[in-house]
Amino acid sequence: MTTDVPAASEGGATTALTRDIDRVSLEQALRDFEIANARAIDLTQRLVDLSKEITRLREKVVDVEMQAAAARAENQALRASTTFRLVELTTKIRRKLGK
Amino acid sequence: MTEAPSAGSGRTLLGVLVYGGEEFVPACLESAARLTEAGDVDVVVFDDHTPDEEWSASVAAQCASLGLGYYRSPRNLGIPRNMNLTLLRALDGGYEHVIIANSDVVFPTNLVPALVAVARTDPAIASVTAWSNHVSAFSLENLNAPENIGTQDAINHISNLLAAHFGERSVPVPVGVGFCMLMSTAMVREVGLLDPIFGRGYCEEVDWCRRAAALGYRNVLAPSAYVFHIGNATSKAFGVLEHWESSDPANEAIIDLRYPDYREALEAHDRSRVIHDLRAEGERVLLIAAAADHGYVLEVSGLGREFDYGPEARFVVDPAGSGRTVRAFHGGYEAEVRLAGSSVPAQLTELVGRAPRALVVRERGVVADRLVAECAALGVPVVDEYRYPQTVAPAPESIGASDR
Repeated sequence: MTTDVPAASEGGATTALTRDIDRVSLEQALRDFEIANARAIDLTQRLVDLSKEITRLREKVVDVEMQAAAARAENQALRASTTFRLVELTTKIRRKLGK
Repeated sequence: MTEAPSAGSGRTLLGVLVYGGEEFVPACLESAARLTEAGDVDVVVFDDHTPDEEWSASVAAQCASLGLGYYRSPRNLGIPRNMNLTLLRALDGGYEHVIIANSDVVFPTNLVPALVAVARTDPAIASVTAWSNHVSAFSLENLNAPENIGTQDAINHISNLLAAHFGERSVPVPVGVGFCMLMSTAMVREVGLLDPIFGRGYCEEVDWCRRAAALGYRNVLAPSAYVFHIGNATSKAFGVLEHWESSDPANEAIIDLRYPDYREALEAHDRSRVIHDLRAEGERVLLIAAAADHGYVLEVSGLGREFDYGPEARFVVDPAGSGRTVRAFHGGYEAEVRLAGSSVPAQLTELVGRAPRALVVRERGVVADRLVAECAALGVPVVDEYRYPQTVAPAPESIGASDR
């Protein structure tokens, strides 16, 4: 084994190994923090964008539901009219007469 | 593809991850210490702040007595960040290669030269994963691995046999497996570290290997280095996995999100049968070597005798088959041996280098009749459980009393 990786028994050397790895660990932890922070900012922005998109789509759904309700009401009114019932009755009579 | 990284110092750093594991860590560290005898290998044990400080102290003491480096994180970092310390240490120390490994393993002494030799065959190789009884879908399984290959001598024997046969050969794999995976430090510079987004661990090496593949590099498996691996023990000690789990679903979801084609790549690799063929070849090597070393009996039996009875290998012929395919069993391994010539015992004698100790007939029939005649011609004793007239009973010890 080389002197670069001292054994745990070598008191001072062990301290050197620990110190070296502590150093790279700390440096990397700071980089990890920066990356994690950037990711959090990025994800937050995406969350905001997606929330806006959800709100927009929800509004669209409500709008479409309202249009559908209006169409259903109009359809209902048509079917309830005297003219519609008369036409429907005429159609049934024609079918029975085979015309 | 980007330009291949340049070669380094020639030295290798092995980082072994420890978190608890009293049952398996001591054997792992002893085997790791043997790797340093070559002089160009250093080992650092990364204890990820095992809660039991007394246990940690005993690991530190064992490292001291074995001449291994030991580092205990001031707090628990999880597998990816802890293994990143290995990679960073390797970069910092000017190593050419770095191996990340779990501690629920026993390394063969040829581990480092075998992995490094494969890595040097192609500068486009990003990762080299060791072969094992437990290495995801690429395993060369053993029926009772802890008993059969869990010691240094046993794993050395198996790994040396495979190394003598496979040499520097490697097979492509979609991703490496982090239980024992070598990377060049130049490649680590190119591809980067393991992503800490994988938290406590699992799938971080999948992500790394897919990143490497996206840059045009290759991930390979080295059949010449065969490691005994308990499997998932480190992850379970970490609390990454529950006892019923073999992977972390949350981390797999990240992989699926990042690499939508990954599962298809796995399936395509499986369909290519590259591992199937490698496994069949390896098993054949091991079984023939076992027969040569320990002797063997030829057996006619319709039952799959997948467990061992004694020190000898067993070559089993299906009484209802063609008699040209023999299933061999020894030491927890099983292999299919295809024969083409006329006499089965003669061909096995040529293949193994010695004649069978006996023919054991457990089921009569055309195949058994033919084998009895072929063995008689070679002077191989026949043990007939149904008392064939031409039986020549050998001394019980010659076929092993436990054979029955």
